[in-house]
Amino acid sequence: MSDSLIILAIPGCALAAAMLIALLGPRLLRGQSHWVAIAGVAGAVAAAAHLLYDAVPGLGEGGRIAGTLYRWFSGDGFTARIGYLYDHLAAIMLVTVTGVSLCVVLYSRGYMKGHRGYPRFFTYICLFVFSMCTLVLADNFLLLYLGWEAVGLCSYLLIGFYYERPTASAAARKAFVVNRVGDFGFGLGVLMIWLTFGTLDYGQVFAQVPGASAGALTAIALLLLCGAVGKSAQLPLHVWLPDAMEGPSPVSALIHAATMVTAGVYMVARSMPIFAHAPGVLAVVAIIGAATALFAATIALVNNDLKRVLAYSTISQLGYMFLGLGAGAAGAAVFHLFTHAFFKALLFLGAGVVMHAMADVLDIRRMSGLARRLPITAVAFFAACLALSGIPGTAGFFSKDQILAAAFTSPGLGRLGPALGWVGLVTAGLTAFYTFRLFMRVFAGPDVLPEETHGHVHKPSPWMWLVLVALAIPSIGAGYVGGWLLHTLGLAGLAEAHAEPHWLLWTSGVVAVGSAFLAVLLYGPARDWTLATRVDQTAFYDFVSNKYFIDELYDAVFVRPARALGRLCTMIDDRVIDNLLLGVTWAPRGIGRGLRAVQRGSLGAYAMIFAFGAVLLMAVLWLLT
Amino acid sequence: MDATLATTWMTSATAGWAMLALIGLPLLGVALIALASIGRERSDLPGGEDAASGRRVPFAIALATSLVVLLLTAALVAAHLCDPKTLSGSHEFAVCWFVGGGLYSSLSLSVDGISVWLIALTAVLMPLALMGSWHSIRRQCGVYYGLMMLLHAAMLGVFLVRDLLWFYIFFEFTLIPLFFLISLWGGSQRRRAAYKFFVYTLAGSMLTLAGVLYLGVKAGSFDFRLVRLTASSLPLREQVILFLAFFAGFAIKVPLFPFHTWLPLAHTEAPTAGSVILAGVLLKLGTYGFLRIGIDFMPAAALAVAPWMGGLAVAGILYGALGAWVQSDVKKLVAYSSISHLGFCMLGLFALRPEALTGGILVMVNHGLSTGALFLVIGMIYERYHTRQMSELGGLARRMPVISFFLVLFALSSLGMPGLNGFVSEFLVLLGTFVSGRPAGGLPATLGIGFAAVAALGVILSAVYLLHMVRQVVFGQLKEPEVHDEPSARLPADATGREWAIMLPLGVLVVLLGVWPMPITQSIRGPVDEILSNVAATQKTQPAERAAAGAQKAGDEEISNCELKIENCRLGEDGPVASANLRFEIFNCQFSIPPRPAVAATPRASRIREDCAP
Repeated sequence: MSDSLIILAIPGCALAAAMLIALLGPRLLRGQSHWVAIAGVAGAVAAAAHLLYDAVPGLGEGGRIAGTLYRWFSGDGFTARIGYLYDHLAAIMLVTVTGVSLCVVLYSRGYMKGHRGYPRFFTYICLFVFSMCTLVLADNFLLLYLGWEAVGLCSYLLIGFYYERPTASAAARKAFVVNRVGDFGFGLGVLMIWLTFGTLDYGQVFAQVPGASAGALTAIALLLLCGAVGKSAQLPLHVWLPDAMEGPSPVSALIHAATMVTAGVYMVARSMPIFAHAPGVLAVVAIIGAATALFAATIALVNNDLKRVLAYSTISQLGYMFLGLGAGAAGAAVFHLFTHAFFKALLFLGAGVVMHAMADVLDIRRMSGLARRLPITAVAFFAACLALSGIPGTAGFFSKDQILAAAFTSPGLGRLGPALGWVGLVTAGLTAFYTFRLFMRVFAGPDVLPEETHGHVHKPSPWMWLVLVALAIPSIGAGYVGGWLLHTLGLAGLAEAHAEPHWLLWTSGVVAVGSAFLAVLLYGPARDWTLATRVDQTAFYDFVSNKYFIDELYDAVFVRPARALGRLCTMIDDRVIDNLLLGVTWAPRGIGRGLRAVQRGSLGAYAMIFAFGAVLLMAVLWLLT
Repeated sequence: MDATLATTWMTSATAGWAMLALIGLPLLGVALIALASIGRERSDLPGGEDAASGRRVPFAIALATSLVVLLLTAALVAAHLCDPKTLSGSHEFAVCWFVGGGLYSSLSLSVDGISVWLIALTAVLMPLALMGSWHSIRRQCGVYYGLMMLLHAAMLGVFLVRDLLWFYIFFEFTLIPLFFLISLWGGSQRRRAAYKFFVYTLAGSMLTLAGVLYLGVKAGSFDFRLVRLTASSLPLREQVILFLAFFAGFAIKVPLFPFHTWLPLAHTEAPTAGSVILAGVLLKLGTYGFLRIGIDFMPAAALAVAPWMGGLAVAGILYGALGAWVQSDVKKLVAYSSISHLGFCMLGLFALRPEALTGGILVMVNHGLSTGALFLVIGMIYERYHTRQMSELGGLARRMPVISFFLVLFALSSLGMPGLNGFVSEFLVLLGTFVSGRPAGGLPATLGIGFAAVAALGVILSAVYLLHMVRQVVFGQLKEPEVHDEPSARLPADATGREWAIMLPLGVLVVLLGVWPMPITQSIRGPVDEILSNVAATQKTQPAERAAAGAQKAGDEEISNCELKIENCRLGEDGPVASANLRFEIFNCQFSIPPRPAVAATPRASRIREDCAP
């Protein structure tokens, strides 16, 4: 009972904070709104941590805490419930989500200070924490869908936070709509689950999976995957995430790196019983993951916008997680989700500090040598770069390696596994390269500031740099803790079947260090631009740096034809259907008008008509006989 | 407290008078407004203090009346939630005999789990629409508010009556006040809009009238239960023809694709309150008609045409959504979105599954709230800037945060955001449609996965066009057209107290029906099951009927003109339909056996047979 209350307290605290700020923020709290948010999110963290501590032994043995809050709505045989399920997967997600959220809220105290939408910002963030916790704690697919859409809404509101910028409101709408395309599949998947199993509750659905037909399971898995691909910005629905960087940096860190975008990974991991029994779908997941990882990494190589490089990197890392899921190693994927949350959040928060310091300039070609001006940020950023690159010993190394090992040895993927593993390995090299390219261009080299700063570098407030330091610790060390945690929670068991080959450990380590070293050589203090500029001028570079023209392609294939169709619809309304109707109403009038002409009482006309009629009649008779 | 109070006062005996009062009160309001307006004809000159007071009196009378109606409705809802039986009995007033006593009609009133929510929707929207008129209506206020009250009475009448003739009278009567509301207080193209609206709806209802008369004559009565008994036992072909006759009137009202072209213009040109009532309630008259008469009276026909109706509904969903996307006029965008949403409603009704039907009914309520709210908010913006062109507006979030907040909230509700009201209904419709490809519970397969999948595309598109609107109007750089109109300049930038009073209740309802629609979905269940069991029963009796049809031909001559006397007959479970003698001409005796396998059916059927025996 008390555990149930504590579970409900996690989203409850966040919701209470959101409502409180929404009601009191604009008039009363204003610049102090963050206190409510901090209290609310800290409450959620405390509850999540307490539960973890309390329940770890039980969860490892498949223990779970479940319950129903109330019945939502019904339609004959169908009843939607608001219920919660706390198990090992929910436990690790909740710790990650609330932990990163608290960091971001604290950081935002410094970052958003003085903005006129200050209470609004914290309302949205708390609403997001609530929605994300609902998503994670849901015990049925419909409530999962609710949380799913709700985090999407928060993402929409926060991307469009600077709503006066046309690019921000456009990006917000794009994010929502592209996600809706994925959710179209997700929604149909939920309906398909209902059709197949007659229930939407996880437990009952998963229990019936072994007896269900393969066709139905494949359909369900593919439809759910649609939603996951949209939310986690995988190919071909990745287009919204880079644009989402229009939101404030803390939002990019929390929603578009650490938590919301990983909801797709969570969903697939949660539905693993369905995916595992759907033949071929896991291979699709793995292929999408590997392709996305490679694809996004190539764009990150050539992009020059600090936050967008990180965004493509996020897409690429999410691709790794999908690869892990596809290899059947949900534990490895969730492990990477866990470590990635910390170091990617740190990178984005660091980018936020740079953005403040550089007067919102994000072009990495226009700045360099910031390490001297922002030393703490540089050190923290460096730690996160090490983790992202997968340098041995850091958090990213362990989790990425588990995924690669799973891919190489996956029994489900067969011969496809090693091939995708090699793609992952190549991507690991690219990752280390673009990460250090970024770091070197921004923090090393001669002292260059964009003219917008007027020579003044805005120093981060203690709220900000303390959070950076705090996040640097798990970026390096989460690999050790996370490994232990996953083992105790029984999640690692999902990946343990794959014995990790030793050569892989060495190879990936060498690839990461080597690529990082190459980047340091090319972009480091002894920088030599000749090679870089030569590459810049090739057509392929142009193609990649334009993001493979996928936005333009979608615009031409989907958006324009649909709008043209819409215009056609209204034209048909106005010209065709209306005229048909008016034609009907004109018919009596027209007939009347026509007949009026022959009855004007003019004797001449009558005679004329009579004569014509007679001639016509005779002609007809003559023709007939 | 409220509920117990309501149930003490609302017994079966008083409920009938309460229902009559729902229709009577607005008419009383009309009379009061007329009395108050006498001698004030001069006072509607523009400007001056006199004009304000000339505006105030009819406004106050109308608002007070609509609030009393709302209170009474709240009592009805409470009574219904406590015990649906209290209200579901039939209460008869104004008994009429036509054609020398051969045709029976009465103003018979009743409320069940379906109509109670539509009555509640009407009662909630009307005071809000009236409040929304305060600022914009400055000419001939007495006439305006009088017409609104007439409209109110007629709309409540449609949902209350259980008599086909009265249904038709109220259904058609809504046309007249709205015609004047559009043509007198509308926008620049108001005459064309009103003309188009009138011609369209009138054309359709002529055929409906033919259907009404045919059924009435055939049943010897216009009472819903008798008509249903007669209609549902007609052979399939006759049912389909009758269905098409009713279709003509209802499909135009809904509006079902491709009979929708009157709607965008009428919505755009109508004054705010007109659009609110038109979208919120009047469109539902069509869907309610389809449900109450189309499906319930002609179940075999409904089954036969279900795929066609589903096809038109899906076409409407996509057509409306695509049309909405390319509009530059905000009101027109919302008007096209109505076509799309009503498509969902029709899809739910004709999937003929309990989930879908529940969803379809819920769409009626939710669309009424969300779209009504959108029109009200757009009206507030229009009152300030006198433009509906999205290109002339922008960034209003800065100028009017409160109004913008509500606009976004209602847009989200309309695009089916989970946690708000629209989602629940949309989901139930899609769920029911999705599973309707398989026979279940005695019902044959109707629509299926394909329909649901295509309809779900409409869910994507609704996000596209509504967020397009939000982006244009609320977000971006602040863009305001210059306003020279003097009264608008007096409005503050953001919401006034009056506007808060309009938006807040709607906002609360939108959230409440999103997180806890359980009372509604539960109370809809009873009547929905009843309707569908009727449909399922047709399916069972259909083959038997066909076999009987051959055998019956021989006996046709002798039975065809036999007259029946049914004395004090008890039909259905609710009590006496008529205590007077009813004379029926029944052409095909066997067909008038009620298709429902109800217990009461057997003795009644046997009695009919006995009387028929030559």
